[in-house]
Amino acid sequence: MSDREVSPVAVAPVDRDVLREAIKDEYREVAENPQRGFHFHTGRRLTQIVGYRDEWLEGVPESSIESFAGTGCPFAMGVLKTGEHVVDVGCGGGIDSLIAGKMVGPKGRVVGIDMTVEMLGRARGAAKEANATNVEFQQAYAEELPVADEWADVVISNGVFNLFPDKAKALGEFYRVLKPGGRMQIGDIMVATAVPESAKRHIDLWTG
Amino acid sequence: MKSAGFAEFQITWSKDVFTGAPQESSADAFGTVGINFFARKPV
Repeated sequence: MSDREVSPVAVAPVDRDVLREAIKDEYREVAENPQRGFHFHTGRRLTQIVGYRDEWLEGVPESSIESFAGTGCPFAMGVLKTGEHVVDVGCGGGIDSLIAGKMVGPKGRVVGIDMTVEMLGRARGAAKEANATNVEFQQAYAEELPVADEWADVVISNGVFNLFPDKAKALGEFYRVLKPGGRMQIGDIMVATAVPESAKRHIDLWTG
Repeated sequence: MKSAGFAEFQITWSKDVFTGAPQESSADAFGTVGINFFARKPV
């Protein structure tokens, strides 16, 4: 842990369903109008900011890259191994799932999970375009992963952990689906200034 | 992380990933940075 003060919110002090709908609205817009301009960077420029290597992006359709809205790079902590099983929580337009699919190869499997239908549509289209037959996408919440116990070698996620209404439950799900010895490689955000309780109740601040 | 059962937690990278975004963000007000973190489920 660094010397920065972390302000975790294990359970969001806001209505869970209202928060989820606000987040879906935001990322539906990213899926449908990725060039619009948001309060975060997006697309190929963002991949450069957060450290994606060009070779990782080779073969990933532009339709997936342009909707990228991550805050880090799960692969910077170590590339994935041939044959590994991967769960990508909050996969968005599928960029990390497709990169993971290339890394694990035909003997590996990747399950990308997102709650936003429009993002899943973009991800499935990109997987079809890339002929990524070892990658599938499912609609679900991070707190209720549709994955068997101890199936995954790796759980990846990028820029969405901070948006989970119930982080403790999501972490429990990550733990459940990982094999013993399995790892989390996560991109997310951290704050240097403690977030006041009043701000945590302000849904606009969760999404912007 | 520890209470969830994970070990080897470490933040491996951090960077300002919001500055220059097309729309104004609340990120700067809280000193928000992008991070990578790692943890492992013990054997």
